[in-house]
Amino acid sequence: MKTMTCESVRDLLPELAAATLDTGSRAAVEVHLARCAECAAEQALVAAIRAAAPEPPAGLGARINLALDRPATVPPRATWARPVAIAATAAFALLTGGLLIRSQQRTTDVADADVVAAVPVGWPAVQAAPMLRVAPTLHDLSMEELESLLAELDS
Amino acid sequence: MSTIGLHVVAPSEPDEGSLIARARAGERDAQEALIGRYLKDVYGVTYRVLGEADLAEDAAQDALVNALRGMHRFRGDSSFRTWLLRIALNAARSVVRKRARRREVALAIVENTPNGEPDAAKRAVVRDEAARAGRMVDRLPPKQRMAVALRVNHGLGYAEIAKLLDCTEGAARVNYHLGIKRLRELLHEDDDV
Repeated sequence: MKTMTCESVRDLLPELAAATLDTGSRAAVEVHLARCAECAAEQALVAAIRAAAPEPPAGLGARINLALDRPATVPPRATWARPVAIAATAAFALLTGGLLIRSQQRTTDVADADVVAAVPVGWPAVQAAPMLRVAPTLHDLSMEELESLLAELDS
Repeated sequence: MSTIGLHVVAPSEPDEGSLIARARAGERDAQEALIGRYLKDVYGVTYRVLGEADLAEDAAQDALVNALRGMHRFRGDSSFRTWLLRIALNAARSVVRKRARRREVALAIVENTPNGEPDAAKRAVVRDEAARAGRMVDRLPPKQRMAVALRVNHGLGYAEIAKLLDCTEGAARVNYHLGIKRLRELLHEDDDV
């Protein structure tokens, strides 16, 4: 049987206390403990700590099961928070949409000149104008998309 | 764990994989089985962090409910138990942060002794060695306390402890041994009083 050092024995004391050591290792550890008072004292301490493991109170498991049966709740928000958030979202969407339209108009000014030049005289102007990609307004958003936008703004 | 190549027998966990798969699919009996299997582990961790039974109970409940509702987040990168213990640690830390913010409890709850110095009456009542050892564990600094609890009460190796406590494996090992050393000193001091 391999002789063990105090260090290697002390590393295995939790497994000895938990009875998860294989037979050979347990025998080697016990041989060492029989002749080493310091390691034996530590073994007694580890066994005592293990015996002192905190026990969950009776009924906790049942309470957790009950909690799992309840639907998950969304954290409550202050009653004033939602209107304020919607107003902020609306302002954000309008501002962003306006900026995008202005930006698009600037870039299409140059392009329009080319397009107009290529369009036969007499065609309605609307046909000649390139399609504008305008940011969606609040009316275009579904409730889910609105919720998602709110969540983004909150984060 | 051991530097001399000795083997440790892993505790048998029959049907763990199928239990997890069924719980993930929302089967309540599988969820109940997992609660029964890991409640003591989860409560043990929250208690060691918080040092108060009521708080530990709430944190354990939060941890298990959140874990079982978020089973899709378990990827199998660690054992299910280690994943669950991490959630328990986070739930307990969250309680500490909330209470600290509300100034009900100073952060010292996790930095120092949760129960303070035991008075003579308590010492007279608590004769049992295990209870005394448990009381002394509560007096360890947090990193040592958690390393000792995770190693002895939960049977984790240093690598798993390191993952849970966000430290190196070497630091986990040092904290465990420092904790044991300090416990022996505390018990000697207690004997001398």
